[in-house]
Parts: sequence; C-alpha cells; structure tokens
Amino acid sequence: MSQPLVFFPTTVAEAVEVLDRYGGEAKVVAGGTAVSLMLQHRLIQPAALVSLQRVDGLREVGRTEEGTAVRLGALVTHAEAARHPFLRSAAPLVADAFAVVGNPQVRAAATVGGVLTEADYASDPPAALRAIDAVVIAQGPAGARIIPVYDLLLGFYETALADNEIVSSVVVPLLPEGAGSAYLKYSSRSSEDRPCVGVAAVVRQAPDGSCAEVRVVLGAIAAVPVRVPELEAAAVGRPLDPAGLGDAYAEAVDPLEDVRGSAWYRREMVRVWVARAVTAARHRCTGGPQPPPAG
Amino acid sequence: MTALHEVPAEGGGGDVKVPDADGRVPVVLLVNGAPHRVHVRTTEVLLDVLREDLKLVGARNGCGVGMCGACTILRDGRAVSSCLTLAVLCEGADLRTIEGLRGGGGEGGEGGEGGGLSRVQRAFLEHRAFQCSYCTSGFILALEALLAVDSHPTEAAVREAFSGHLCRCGSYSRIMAAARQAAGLPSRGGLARGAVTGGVTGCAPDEEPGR
Amino acid sequence: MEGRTEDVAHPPLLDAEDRVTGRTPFVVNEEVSGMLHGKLVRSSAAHAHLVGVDTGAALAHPGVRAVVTGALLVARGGMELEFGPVVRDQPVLAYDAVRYIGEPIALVVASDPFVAEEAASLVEVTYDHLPAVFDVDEATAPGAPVLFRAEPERDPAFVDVTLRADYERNVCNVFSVVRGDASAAISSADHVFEHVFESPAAGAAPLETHVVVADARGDRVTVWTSTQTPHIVRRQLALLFSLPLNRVRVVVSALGGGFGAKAYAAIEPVAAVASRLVGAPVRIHLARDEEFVTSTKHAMRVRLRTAVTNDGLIVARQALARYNAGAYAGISPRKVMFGAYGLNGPYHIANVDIHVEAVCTNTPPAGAYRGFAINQAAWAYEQQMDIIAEALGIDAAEMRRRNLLRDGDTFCTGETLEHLHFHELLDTVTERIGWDPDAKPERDGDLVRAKGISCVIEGTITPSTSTATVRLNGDGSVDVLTSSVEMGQGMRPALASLVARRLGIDPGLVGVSYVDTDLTPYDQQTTASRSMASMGRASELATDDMVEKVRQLAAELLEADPSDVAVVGGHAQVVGVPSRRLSLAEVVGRSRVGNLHGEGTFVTEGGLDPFSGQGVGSAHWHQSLGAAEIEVDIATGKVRILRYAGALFAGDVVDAVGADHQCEGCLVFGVGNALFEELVFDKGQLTNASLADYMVPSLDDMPDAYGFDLATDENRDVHGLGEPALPPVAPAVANALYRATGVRIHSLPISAERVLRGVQAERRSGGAGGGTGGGTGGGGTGSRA
Ligand SMILES: Cc1cc2nc3c(=O)[nH]c(=O)nc-3n(C[C@H](O)[C@H](O)[C@H](O)COP(=O)(O)OP(=O)(O)OC[C@H]3O[C@@H](n4cnc5c(N)ncnc54)[C@H](O)[C@@H]3O)c2cc1C
Ligand code: FES
Ligand code: FES
Repeated sequence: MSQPLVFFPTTVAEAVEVLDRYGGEAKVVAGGTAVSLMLQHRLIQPAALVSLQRVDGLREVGRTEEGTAVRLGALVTHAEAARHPFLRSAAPLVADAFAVVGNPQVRAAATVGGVLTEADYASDPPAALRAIDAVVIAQGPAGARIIPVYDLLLGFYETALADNEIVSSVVVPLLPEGAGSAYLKYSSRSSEDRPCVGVAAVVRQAPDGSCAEVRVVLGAIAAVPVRVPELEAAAVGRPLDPAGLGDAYAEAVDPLEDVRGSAWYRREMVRVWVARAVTAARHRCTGGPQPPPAG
Repeated sequence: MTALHEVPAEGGGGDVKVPDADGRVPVVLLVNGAPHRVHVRTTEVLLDVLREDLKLVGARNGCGVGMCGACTILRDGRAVSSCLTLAVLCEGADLRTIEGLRGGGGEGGEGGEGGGLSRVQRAFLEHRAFQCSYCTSGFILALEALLAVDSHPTEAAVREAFSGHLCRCGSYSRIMAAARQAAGLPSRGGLARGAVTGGVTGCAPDEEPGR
Repeated sequence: MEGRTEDVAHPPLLDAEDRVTGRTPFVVNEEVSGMLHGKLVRSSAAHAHLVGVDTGAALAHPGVRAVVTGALLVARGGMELEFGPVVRDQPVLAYDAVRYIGEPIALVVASDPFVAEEAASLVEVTYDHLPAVFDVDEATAPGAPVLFRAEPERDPAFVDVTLRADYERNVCNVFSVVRGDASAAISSADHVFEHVFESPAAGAAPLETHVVVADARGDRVTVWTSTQTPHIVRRQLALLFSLPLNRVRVVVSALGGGFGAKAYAAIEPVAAVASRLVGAPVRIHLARDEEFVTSTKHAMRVRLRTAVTNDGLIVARQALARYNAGAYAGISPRKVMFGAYGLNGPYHIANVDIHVEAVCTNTPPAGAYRGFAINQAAWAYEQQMDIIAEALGIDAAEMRRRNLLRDGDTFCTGETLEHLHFHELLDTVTERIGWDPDAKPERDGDLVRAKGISCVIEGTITPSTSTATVRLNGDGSVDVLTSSVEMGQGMRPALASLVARRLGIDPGLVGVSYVDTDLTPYDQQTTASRSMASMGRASELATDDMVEKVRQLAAELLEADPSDVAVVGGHAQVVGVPSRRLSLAEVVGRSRVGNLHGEGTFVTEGGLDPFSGQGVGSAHWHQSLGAAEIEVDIATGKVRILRYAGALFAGDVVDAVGADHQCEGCLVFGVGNALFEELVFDKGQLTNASLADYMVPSLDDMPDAYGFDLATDENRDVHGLGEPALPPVAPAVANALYRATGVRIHSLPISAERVLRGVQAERRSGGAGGGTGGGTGGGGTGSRA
C-alpha cells in the first residue's frame, strides 16, 4: 500500500511517455475532483499520478483553424467553459451543461477533459457534447487521434482511451446556422443533486416550419449518453412535435435505477424532459434572447 | 507498485515527487501569504494538511465529497473544496483560509467594532448568521470569492455562490441577510419573521404575506 | 423573506467573533499529546455469529499499535462489555454476534489516522450468518428471528423508564395511553377512519460527525467528546469501568450540530476501553458513512383509527405504532412514551387507546432525533385530520378549530392543560398563508399551487433536573458554570443574557463555561429542547442564591440590615439611599471572599404510568402550527415549498434571534424530511451513506419566503424552541399536495416519484379527488374495523 509517485510533465509528450512507462498503473489527474475521491475511498491504488497542471497549451479556448468549431483545452475548467463568450454563442447547450454541474467549488476545479474521461453516467456535459457531435483529440505514443464523444464513452467509468493516451482537447462544432439548442438538467431531490435525467436537444426548422433536424441525447439514464438515430430521422420533414418525441423516447429507452429514481420514473422523466428540452431548443431557433439554463 | 517504477528514469516525464519510506513527499504550500514546507502523502487532500499539519482548523470536514462547502478555501482567489484537492498539486498556488482573512490586508483592519475582520465577516457577525458555525468559514469564503470578481453581485449571483454550501443548523436566512449587507444589496422583509412581543404577533405593515 | 436588518443591534455575543474567524473550539479540533488514532472495523453482516476476527495482517502493518476486538475485551475482563442508556445491550465491540451492518467489531489503533484506516481494511472477519429482520411488523410476527433472548441488564440511573419489554417479539418497550372507552366510542360513532402511515429512518447529519479523544490511563477516564449528554456519558463510562463518577471526566467544547444524534454514549466506550488497553489517548473521528449508521431517526409505522361525529368532533382514537429501534434499545424505551401521548395530537379526545412499541431489528440503532417521536406521529394524525375534514365536508382549519385543546381541557394523560394558545396560533398561520376554505388549486401549465396546514403538541422531557453555578469574580464579572452543551443553539449567549438581565449588568460581563464534568455541575442532558427552560431556570436560581450572599456581605460592609440591601444594576445598595452602595466588585474585594458562588437546582416533577399513560407528561407543552404553500410540477411530481408560516407558543423568550434560528433550523429538517431525506436500506445495507447520495436541504431547497410567529408570555417559563417547529412541516406540505393534486402520500418522503405515481393513478381513476386513489397505499376512509 505504498503511496503513488507524482509526475509533473510539462508537455503532452512527456505525459504520454510516463503513462506508457507505467502501462496502466498510472493515473492522470486534471482537476482532481474525481481522482481525489477515488484515492480517498481506495477505489484506485495507482503506482503513479500524472498531473497535467504544468502541461502547456491545455488551457486554451478558441476557434479551430477552419473556424467551424470551438476547441476547448482539456484543462479548461467547467467554470471557464460555462462563461466563455465564444462557447456561449457557438454552442450554448454545451456552456449550459457545464454551468449546471455540481457547485461553484467543483466547477472551479473540474475540467473539460476530466468530466469526459471520468465517464460517470450521472453527468451533464457528456450528453450535450454528444448532441453537438463533439470529438476529443487523444494523444498517445503514436501521436494524435480523433475520437468522437460517442465512441469515447463505452460504459460505466469506461472509455476508449488507451492507458497511455490523454485527452488534449475537445472540439465542439458550432451549432448549425439557425438551429436552437438546450440542455436541461433535472434533479429529482435537492437542487444540489446530480442529474436524475439530463436532456440535450438541438433543433433546426425548415422555412415551412417543419423539422429540418432534431438531435436528442439523454444523460444519466444509462451507462453512457443515449441517442436514438431512428427517432431523429423519423422526425425530419414533419411538424416538430415535442410531446410526441417525448413519448417516442420514453418508449425507446431502457433506463437504469438509482437513488435518484427508478427505471419507471426515469422513463417518465425522459418523456417530460425530452418534450421540454425540444420546446426550449425550438424557442431558441428564432435567434431570440437566450433563456437562462434551466434545471 | 513494482520495484521497476520506484525510481523513475532520469529526466523522463518532467518533475517527479517520489514518496519516502513513510509515503511522504516534501511540498511547499503558500498559505495565507506565507510559505510552509510540509511532508504530505501523495494521496492526501489539502484539507487534512491544513488542519493536521498547519493547524488551520477554520476549514472543516463536513462530507469529504464536495457537497457541503465546510472545507472551502480560496485557491488563487477562487473558492474550491479542499477535501477534493490533492495537497501535492497545490505547489505554486496562492491558498487562503478563513484565518488568512483576519488582518491579512484587503479589508482587514477597516476599523469599527470588528477591527481586523473583513466586510463579509463583519456582516456575518452583525447578523449573527450562524448557529454552530461549522459551515460559516465556507459561506464567508464563498462570498469573498464572489465579491473579489464582482463587487456588485445580484442576489441570484450570491445564491449561486452559496450553492455547494450546506448549513444543517438552518441559518440560511441570516446568511443571506449578511450577504446582502456585504454585497450592498437591499434587504428584504420576512414572512412573519417572529417579531417577538406579548401574545401572537400581528403582521407588520411592511411584511405583506404573499408575494 | 429572510432576516431583518433591524435585528443587527444585539449585545455583544459571547464567542461571536470566533465563529466568523474559524476559531470556535469544536471537539473535532481537540488534540491530546501522545494521542493515537482509531478506526473501527465494521460488520458487513446484518445478523450473524462472529466466528473469527483475524487481526494478524492489520497488526503487522507498520504504524499499527493495537487491534482491539470484542474477544480481547472478553478475555481481559474487568470491564463491562455492554452499554446503553436504559438497558445495557449494546456491545462496546461485538464479541459473539453482530446485529446490523456497520456494527463495530474491532478498533485498529495507529499512530496516524491514515494508517489506522489502511490497516482496518486488513482485518478479516468470518461470520456464521443468521436470518435477519428489518421491518417492525415482520420482527414482531411469530417466527421472526430474535435479536435478544434475555433481558439485558438495566442502567440503574434510568429508573423513570418502566420496561414492558417482550424480547421474544423483539420489543424493547411498550407504552400505552388509555383513557375512556375507545372501542365503545368507535362502535357507536358516526364515522370511523383508519389509515396506515409510515416514516423512514433518516439521518440527523450534523456537519461535524461524532468525535472523541479518550484517555483512560491510570485510575481515571477522561473523554473529550462531542456529546449532548455529558453527565449521562460520564455515568455510562463509570459503569463500564466500575469507577465512581468523580473518576470520570467528560469535557465538551463546541459541537458542530447535534440534533439528537449526539445524545448518549456512542463511540466514547470503545475509545476509552482502547485507551485503557493501549496505554495512550485514543481518538476516533467518524467518517460520514459511519455517522449515518451511528444514530438514526426512528422509522415508524402506525395504524391510526379515529372516530368522529357528523360535526367533525373527534370522539375516539386508537393507534398501534411501532418505532424501529434498530439493533439496540438505546433511548427507544423512553421514546415510546413520547410517541404514545404524541399520537393523541393537540386535540381534545375523550376516548383514547394508544399503544406504541419500540421494536429491535437488524438495522443501525435509532436514537434521539430533533422532534423526538413526534414527527412520525404528526405525519400520520395531521394528514388523517385533513382526510376526515374532507370526507365530512368541513374546512381543514375549521375541523381543527373544533377539536384543538383549550385551557381547562383534559389531555389524554389525565392532565388538565392551561396556557394553551392553539386557536390564536391557528388564526395566525391561516392569516399568514392566506388560507381560504374555498380556494381551488391555482394552475399554470404543469405547475399547481395549493396550501396546507397542520397542528402539533409536543412535551418536554419530564421529570428532569438541571443545576448551575454562578460565580461572581473579584472584578465584578460573572461566570456561569453549566453542563449544558453548546451545539449551535446559542445556549451560552442566551444564558449570559439571562444572568445579566437578572443582575442588571452588561451581558459582556457574563461568561459561560464549556462543559467539564470535573467542574461544571450536573445537568441531565441537552436534548428535548429543554436547556433554555431548565438550565435557564437553574441559572436564574443560582444567580438569586449568589445575590443573597452579596446582600449579606454588602449589608455588613454598608452597615445596614440585609433586608434593606438590594442588588440593582450591578450594585448592592441600601434601598432608598442610592449613595450608600457598592459595586459587585467592591463587595467581593472588600469582604475578601475571593469570589462568590451561587447554586441553583431546577427540578421538574412528573411521569406517566406506562400501562395507562396517566400522570404528568410534561412540565409544559409545546404548541406548534405550520402552514405551507407549495407548487407541484404534475409532470415530474416534484414539490417546491413556496412559502411557509409557522406559529408557536414560546413562553418567555430570552434570545429573539436564537429563537428565530431554532425555528429556521427546524424548517430545514422539516423540508428535508418532507421532500427527500431517507436512509435507503437494501437488506440492511445502507445504500446512501454519503452527502452526495443523502440529500439535506440547501439554500435553494428552502421556501422562497418563510417566518415564524412566536406567541410569548413573560410570565410563563421559557419554552425551548429546538424542536417544536419541525413536526408540522411535513404534514402541512402533504396536505397542500393533496389539495393541489388529490394525491395522498402515506409514506415519507414526499418524493417526486411517489407524487408522480399518485398523479398518474389519480388521472386514471378520473381525478375525483377522493384522495384514496393516489398515494402509496395504506388506508381508506370509512370503518374498516
Ligand atoms: C460534489 C460534486 C458534484 C458533482 N456534480 C456533478 C453534476 O451535477 N454533473 C456532472 O456532470 N458532474 C458532476 N460532478 C462530477 C464532476 O464533473 C467531475 O468530478 C469532474 O468533471 C472531473 O473533472 P476533473 O478535472 O476534476 O477530473 P479528475 O478528477 O482530474 O479526473 C477524472 C478522471 O479523468 C481522467 N482524466 C482527467 N483528465 C484527463 C485527460 N485530459 N486525459 C485523460 N484522462 C483524464 C482521470 O485519470 C480520472 O480518471 C460532481 C462532482 C462533485 C465532486
Ligand atoms: S468537506 Fe469538502 S465539501 Fe464537504
Ligand atoms: S451553523 Fe451549523 S451548519 Fe451552519
């Protein structure tokens, strides 16, 4: 039960090199809000901790070279992401999802890379990132690769990252022209609770008012965020029907059960919150003033 | 875990801290403006180091999981939970605890009765915004952190800053009253807040029941 | 809502500056030189014989000084193996059997808490599992597993509790209140209503968990501990070690909340025993998950039958309630008495037949908890009141008005009650909330608003004894020596102002001790909202005693007759001759007495016969009402409390701000209990033992506006306010929910999920609003006897 060594690499390459050397026995630490708990409760006993805090270039927020996306460095905190003006305008549902995580103390420390790679099912940002088709840039000994958030999250606390890879940034595409979006977090108990259900929705309407595109991602109801492409496809070309979508998603999902709600209850909440999120997203389509994040 | 890893290869991976036989590494923490050299376990959270090594007991353990706010400190000016902060990762950070507010520059020593207290501390004192006060340091620091970046916050911003802070004794209304005073927000009347006189108190004229 | 700025002008408050600078001396800060750290190894079996406890690996762990087990204590002998405030049934460390998941089996003692914790995980326990039982009805049914075969030894000091235990049925005590002829009244009544209501176990969750440092070296035992009952802990430790009381010292500085959970010995015995064995001071500080299994609110189920006339007058009440005591009796044998008269409610009922059982099960021990037994009772009878009112077509407030106790009424205990204010208090809360008998719920989309009310009576612990010493120092300052525990209720500043008021001196001149049983005189306990009433009175009597001595001395110095000397405004003076006076300091100084002590003892008499419940139940009666306006999202079932108005009779109020604080504290517990606080067990395993999984109310969960009206009477004694405002909250919310949705929730908490199930059932049944369609089972209207 010896204590882990602590590495402070200054470049991504150095970090990857340490991870590679330890072959799964090392643990990356970013904001540390999750890792500290895992260590305290002895859920993990790594031989080494690899802190990313001195690694250069992981804290930037900016437009990608092509200008079609926002790049969030892995060490950008939830608080920074939530209030970043560019992210707020380019992908408001993502900013909203970061804004409703936990509490200010957590948001001041927790990072964009951390919340994705922790892969906790009861989380907010992953659903929003999944809805907007965000990808992560993973860096390993062989260089960088792009992993869509969809492919990154595999199961409870399980990701597609190799032991010797880190996430260096998350690339968030801009919300399509004219589209509206929303992320709604529903806590069934205290306002301080993690989500019982979280719904991310993106809606685009055709000039005739019919649905040109709808994307719905459900968080906290299964091991990973749930997206149902068939339902999204079926909605296109028809008048947008939030309640109908709510019913359809409620039928389609197979929710888990925890202290925040039974499977039955979560299914009902999917019904309600899909409708509400789609409605909120449609409201924002017109380019009117953005309502504050709801919860 | 394997012996292979005990001694890292020269120069690889940047700086490294290797625990001694006792599992500890030396760390210099800048707390309340002064550097402190401590030997910490690499898995140890800052809260334990502050309390046990530095005897700064104003930060307290209420939950150990980031939910109650009793362990709040300021890290580079921002309120964070010291129960979720690994001490070994705090080198170079400007750490401030409730003890650091007193007379520690800033607003300290503004005079008046609570000389040496910050404006926020004074407001909490005047409003008696505590019962057991186990939570009080956390609430005070949360407000200090907010006021440092927003000297005229809205009531909503104050409430948001207090999310992640639990007062099990139930001093919330006085905490808000103190916060309004410190933040320069108008005070609010209560719904029949027990004006105590003989017999059942009537509804004071400025306290409309209902909204 | 919220605090009034006018409140800011107070006398300088004892220790207030420490409270905003982080310097309050909490027990958790206590350090004793050379102290070691203990970590408990806890049972993972709900009910089992202990086959073996292998401590080898833990002992071999570097830094470990000892691993204390039950077997070791048995082998060593010379110390009692069990403790408990009424009966001694709880092992210091389990030695032959374990009876709940989380029960202490061994204590690993090490130089450092981290090492102790690490080594604790190395202790291997082998169990021979036994059938376990978790539910009170199952535990009392024939064939249930039996937790105890024989009656454990009694603690001789708790003589006021008569035991009617039935260990074969796992019942550790029964209390009955019988008056009139309830069966006859029920069989001839116009209407009879019968329902079952339930409350779950909950956690008091003080932010500071239990912590103790024990030093039992030599021929003394000293504990620095977070207890609300220092003198009881002192006695419990004395019994454990067979020591006279004066060899046991209990020191209690400030507590980070208590709320009942820190009453009676919990971890003090094991820390003290370990210290004795190891030969060093031993500290134990519970982690949050341990705190949750150390003392819980009692889960309770009650079948409540109430008979009324066509006019809504209650003519009879029958009840059978079972409080889940958990694995050990703890204070449950006394709790049943509170539950029994509590179930009568604040109503005049001529025929009463109430039986309350405390039942042992394989769950963590239940203990004292803010609202002591009354929360569970009020949850039941105040909802039933609304059900009855609706069935009879009577407004809920009017229904109560017709039945509430009035001065001169006889209570179910046979006492004639006086100084009752229920009717005025009812008028107050209905006015505050804007009660309208004909109001329809207000609906805005999925959001529906409505209001509910509830009324509660609660006793205080009786008989009881408090003593205080007041000491006048040579400079005229005054010390109050008391064993009442400061746990945030503001007891110390309140005592200071009480004594200052009596002496006519600045409260800043009065200090109040923390507890040290070597120095501070006897006090029964700091629970049941009794401190201000009881210790306040004792301090006043002590002040009077001291004043008497001052007058004697001053008379000599002033060459006057003692009967001509009065103490006014901090001076002793000859009555009518203001120039012939001496300051209190001069009296002490010139008479060369060093200092002057006054002693005060306040005893309340009373007690109830456990078979009939007749006698004197309480020295005074807490009267508490609440009214809530809620908003429910009928799509999600989530309830938000918009406004809450409470009204209480407070007797004399010493500290208005403190009173306010206590009421708001009750509201926090009320909101939590009403909406989400619940310890969730899976076959005896607690599944939400962290503040990330067990929710307590945050600022945002509190109502948007709330306040409390206190009816006061300077000529009455001080009524403690630690608890009475709590019990009305949950039933008021439930009653409002019913008015909003037609959904009746029989089991706390009023979780969003339960509400939604009710709303959907109500919708399916056509939403007639009968109230029996929704909810979570357990009852009906009409006679089902
Ligand atoms: C009190 C509290 C409340 C919370 N409430 C919510 C909530 O409401 N909603 C919600 O969504 N979440 C919530 N969370 C979870 C919170 O969002 C996560 O703890 C946080 O996002 C983790 O980020 P971090 O930077 O602190 O990660 P760390 O703790 O540093 O790391 C987390 C995991 O990710 C790995 N990791 C981190 N960064 C990288 C990287 N760049 N590359 C590879 N691996 C990496 C680590 O090895 C570790 O496995 C809550 C947490 C707490 C403590
Ligand atoms: S102890 Fe850190 S937030 Fe509760
Ligand atoms: S004052 Fe006790 S927890 Fe806030």
